[in-house]
Order: sequence, then structure tokens, then C-alpha cells
Amino acid sequence: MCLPSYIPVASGAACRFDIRFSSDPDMIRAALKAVSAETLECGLAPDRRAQLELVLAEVLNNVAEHAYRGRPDGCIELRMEYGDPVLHFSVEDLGVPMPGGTLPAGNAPPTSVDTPDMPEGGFGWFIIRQLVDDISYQCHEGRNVLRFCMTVGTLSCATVRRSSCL
Amino acid sequence: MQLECSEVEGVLFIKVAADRIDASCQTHFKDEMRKLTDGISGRVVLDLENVVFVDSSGLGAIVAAMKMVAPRAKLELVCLTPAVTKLFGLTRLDNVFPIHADRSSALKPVAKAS
Repeated sequence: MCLPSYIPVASGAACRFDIRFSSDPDMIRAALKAVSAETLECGLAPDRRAQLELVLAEVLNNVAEHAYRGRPDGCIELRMEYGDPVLHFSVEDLGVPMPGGTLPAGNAPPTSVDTPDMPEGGFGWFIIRQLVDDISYQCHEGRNVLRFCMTVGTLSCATVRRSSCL
Repeated sequence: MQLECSEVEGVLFIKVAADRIDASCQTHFKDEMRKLTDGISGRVVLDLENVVFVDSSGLGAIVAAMKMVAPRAKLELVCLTPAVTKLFGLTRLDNVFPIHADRSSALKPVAKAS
């Protein structure tokens, strides 16, 4: 089992945080915790941290469930890069491409319906699209690359830390 | 995932002891809810005081629990944390579930459906 390894780098006003982990649900959870710890240290506001964790959870769960079809050994690379006032993210995997090579529309699931017809799914892409500022997807030579960003204001990216395992 | 049950004035409270309802525990959550609400009628109030994180799978599981108890019983929610409150607002599910601020307001004679 591959534990998250991460190498945050701070340089001037920008800082970068790379993390690589497997598509195992526990590893995804660990990766979310690592990002959350990093953004806490950078001074990201609690409500934005909660939104970011939610967006990342949706994105990473999609990779695990759809791109890797539930396989726990797929490789996922997450990069977070800060340039005042925006956090940029990229998530890369080597799994099955998005259907049609495009992102799902992410329309709001209908909630004004009778109880038996209430949607139990379909919230994921709606949530992602509501909470990120910009999002794009491309598949190139077997590599799925999802990019998005969130405007977060000025952060303090003073941390330089290096850690890796496995 | 641990769910703690208690009955107060004829209302069944189910408290989620975990801090997350997400992709990795949503199946277990649904299974436990099915066991605890089997044959129940009346009001079932899900206490989310401890829950700081719900993702789309968790949201789907809560909707599934609501459908599971209907039409015999109605699933209501109480003690939502700020992030969970926002998620229910964002997805408009705050119009679907009666949501109470705390347990005492959940016990008031006329439970307001929002």
C-alpha cells in the first residue's frame, strides 16, 4: 500500500504541493487530510477549507470509482499551486477517460420530486462545478488531467517541508 | 460507523457517532439505518452533531435512508454543523428534509417542515 508522499515547496509568493497516492479509499482519505493540514498552515479560511476538501473528495472519488473502476492500486497525482489570490489544482490519473472525453455537465439533481423519485446520486459534479472557479479536462496519451482553481485571497505560504514515504 | 439510538417522547433519535459520512462508509451507514428503522413508524430524527464532513455519496446515503423509512416514517435532521448546513443548501436538500437547530426544537409539538 502506497502512503501519500508529499513535497511542498515555497518560493517567493507562490508555493506548490505535490502528492502521489493510490486509488484506495483510505489513501484518498489520507491525501485529503494532508491537503487539509497544508491549507490550514497556509491560513486558508475554515469555510473555504471545507469546500476544498469536499471538491477534492468528489474529484478523487470519481477517479477511484470511474477512471480506475474501483481498483485500489491506480496511481493518482495531485498538485496544488498557489499564486496570490488563487489556488490552482491538477489531478492526474492513468485510468479510463471521461465518457465522450468531456466533463459531465453537473446539472442540479431534481429535488422537487416525490420521495420515491428523490435522487440518491448525481450530486458530485454539481457540487464540484458550484464550488470551483474554473475547470477543464483533457486526456492525453492515456493520462487524464483535470484542472481547476479556487479564488481564496492572500495566504501565507511560508512552509517548506519535505517528506516522502514509499 | 456507529449509530446511537434513543427514543424521546415517541421520537426516535439516531446519532451518528462518526465525524464523516462519505464514500468509504456510506454503504455501512445505509445498512445500519435499515436495521435501526426496520418497521419504525412516526418520526425519525438523524442527529448530525458530530458530522463535519458529508460528500455526495454521504448525501445520497441520507436520501436513501429517507426513502427507506417512507411512507411509514419521516426522516428529519438535527444539529447540522456549518459545512453540512451549506451542503444541504447548495443541493437544495434543505427543502426536502425538515431540519431542526437542536434537539429541543425537534421535540416541539409542531415540527415545522421547511
